[in-house]
Amino acid sequence: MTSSFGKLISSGRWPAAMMALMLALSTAVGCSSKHELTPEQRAQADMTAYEADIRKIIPDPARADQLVALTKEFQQLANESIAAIKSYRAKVAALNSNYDATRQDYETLFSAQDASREAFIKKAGAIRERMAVFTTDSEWEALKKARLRALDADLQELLS
Amino acid sequence: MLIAALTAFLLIHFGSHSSALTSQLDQTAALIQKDVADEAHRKQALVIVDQMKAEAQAAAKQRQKSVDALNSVLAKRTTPVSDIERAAQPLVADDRASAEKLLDLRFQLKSVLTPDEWKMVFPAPAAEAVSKKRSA
Repeated sequence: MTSSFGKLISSGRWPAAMMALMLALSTAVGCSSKHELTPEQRAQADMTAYEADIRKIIPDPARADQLVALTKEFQQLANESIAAIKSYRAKVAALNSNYDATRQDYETLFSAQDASREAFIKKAGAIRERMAVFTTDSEWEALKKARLRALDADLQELLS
Repeated sequence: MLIAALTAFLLIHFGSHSSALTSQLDQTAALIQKDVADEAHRKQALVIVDQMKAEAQAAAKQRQKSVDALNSVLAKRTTPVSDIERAAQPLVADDRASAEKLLDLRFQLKSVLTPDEWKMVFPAPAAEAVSKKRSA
C-alpha cells in the first residue's frame, strides 16, 4: 500500500491519493465503532496516519517517500529490539529465581545484552543519520511531534 | 515518533541491566513478608531489599544528568552517531556499576535465605504468571 501510495503522490495524483487515504481512515474509524480492530489492523491504521503526518510535514514527495521507508525500517528494528529486551528481562528473571545461579551467569547475560545494545545503536544511528539527510531543521523539529501510537504503546510497556 | 521513540529505545537499552534487576522489588518485599516464616531471616532479607531499592533510586537520580546530556545531543538533527555513542557512555557505565552493586546485594540476600525460602520469594516466571492469574 505504501509504495502505491507513494507512486500516486509522485505521479501528481495527490488529490486522489488524499481521497484514498481519507477513505481508508474513515473506513477504519467506522469499523472500529462496530468491531474491535485486530492488532494488525490497528498497527496498519497507525502507520497510515503516521505516513500522512510525514507527508504533511515534508511536502517534497521524493523525500517524504524516503522518510516513510526509513520509518518502516525503524519500526522493524524497534520490534526486534522490543522482543530482545523482553527476552533479556525474562532471562534475568529466570536467573533471579534460580537459587544456584552464579555471578558468572549474570555477567555472561550482561555481556550478551551489551552486544545487543551496541548492534541496536549502530543500526538506529544509521537510520537516524539517513533521516537527517532527507530533512531540514524545521522538518526535523516538526517530525518530533508526530506519533506512531502502536510503538508508543510498546515503549510504555517497556518503561512501566 | 521516530525521533522520540529512538531516544526512548536508547534510554531503555542504556538502563537495561539495573532495571531488569530491580523490576520486582516491591513484589519481592511483599513475598518476604508473607512467606519467610523465620523472623531473623525475614528482617535481614527486608533490610537488603530496602538497600536494593535505595540503590535503584540513587542510580535513577545519577542517571538523570546523563539523560539530559544525551537528550541535548539527540535534539540536533546533524549529530553524528559517534557523538551519540560518546554521550551515552556515562549512562552505560553507570548502569553497569549499579548492576554490580545490585548483584552484590542479590548474593547477600541469598546468604540469608534458605533454598526453600528463595523459591517462595522468587517464584519461577511461569509459576509467577499462574499465581498472578489466580489472584486476579
